[in-house]
Amino acid sequence: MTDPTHLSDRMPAVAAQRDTWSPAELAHLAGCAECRSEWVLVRSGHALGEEFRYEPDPDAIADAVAGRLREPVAPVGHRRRWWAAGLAAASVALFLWGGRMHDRLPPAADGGELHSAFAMPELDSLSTGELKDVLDSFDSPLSERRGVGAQGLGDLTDQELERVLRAGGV
Amino acid sequence: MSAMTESGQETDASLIGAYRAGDERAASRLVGRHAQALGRFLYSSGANPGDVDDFVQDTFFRAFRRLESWRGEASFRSWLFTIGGNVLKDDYRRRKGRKILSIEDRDVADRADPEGDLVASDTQERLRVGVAALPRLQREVFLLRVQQGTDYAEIATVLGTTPGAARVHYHHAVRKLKELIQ
Repeated sequence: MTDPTHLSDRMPAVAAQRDTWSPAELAHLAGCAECRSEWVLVRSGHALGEEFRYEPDPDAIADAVAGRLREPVAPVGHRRRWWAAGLAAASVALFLWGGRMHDRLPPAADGGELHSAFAMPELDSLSTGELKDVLDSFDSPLSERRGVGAQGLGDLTDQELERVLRAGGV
Repeated sequence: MSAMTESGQETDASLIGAYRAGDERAASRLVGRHAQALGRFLYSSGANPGDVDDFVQDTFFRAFRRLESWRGEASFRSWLFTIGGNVLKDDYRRRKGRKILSIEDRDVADRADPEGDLVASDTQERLRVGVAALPRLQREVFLLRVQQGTDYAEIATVLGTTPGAARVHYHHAVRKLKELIQ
């Protein structure tokens, strides 16, 4: 059976004619409307901008860039120094205010259960298996997360990703 | 690191090394290698066709000004596209959020448009408007994937995220754009 995630990963290469579909993949595309619509989109995206006739002059661009690089760097203005100082002060104030707000969070109820200040009703409709998928996707400690998303999402299939997206209300 | 590709061309890294050693012709060769693809990326991201040349120059200016920050973890082109995205973002802020594109706005240069191409042209224009309207991360992940074939690991490196998050951004973009072209 053709894996839709694998198919999706191969679409850019096939659209660029660096690769071709196997007979099994073609059969899957013929029978799967969702994969087929993504394939149409990828082909259109690959062709996007082809109608834009842009013929840059590399020497002219390089000369212009060289000229700009030779210009002396303007000193930081007086106003910008004050703006930077104000921003630093605001950051410190926000940090201190955030600490005070944390102290005001409701204490844990008797029995050791933490009362969440943030309800997530969208999770109520998930099955046990779906909830587990969501929780598994947030396995890594916060201190180890980089950038925008949680680690581990790269291991999810498209169906699992869809469940995560729905759980997040997107 | 080899100074030549399999096809016998100088690598981007070797051209950058030559430029930093004082060979300004290396800069022209770098520009020649990437400017057209960069221009197409900026146009696809929603840039006005008349502004693309300026944006390309701005992008190369910023790139050459801080070449030391490119350490080769991702391709030079992907790194350049990220800088191009910053140029577009700054231009958008300067214009104070005025919309550059709308679904009725035909910014594409006048050309003969045979009836047989009308539907395809309309779809491409709708897609371009849709791509331009995406949040920045989704837009750049989508274009890097479908136009350059960049893998998620490299996309994550240049955009400062994780491969898993890049994959999520791609699927977000696909879901939104499908509705536009169907």
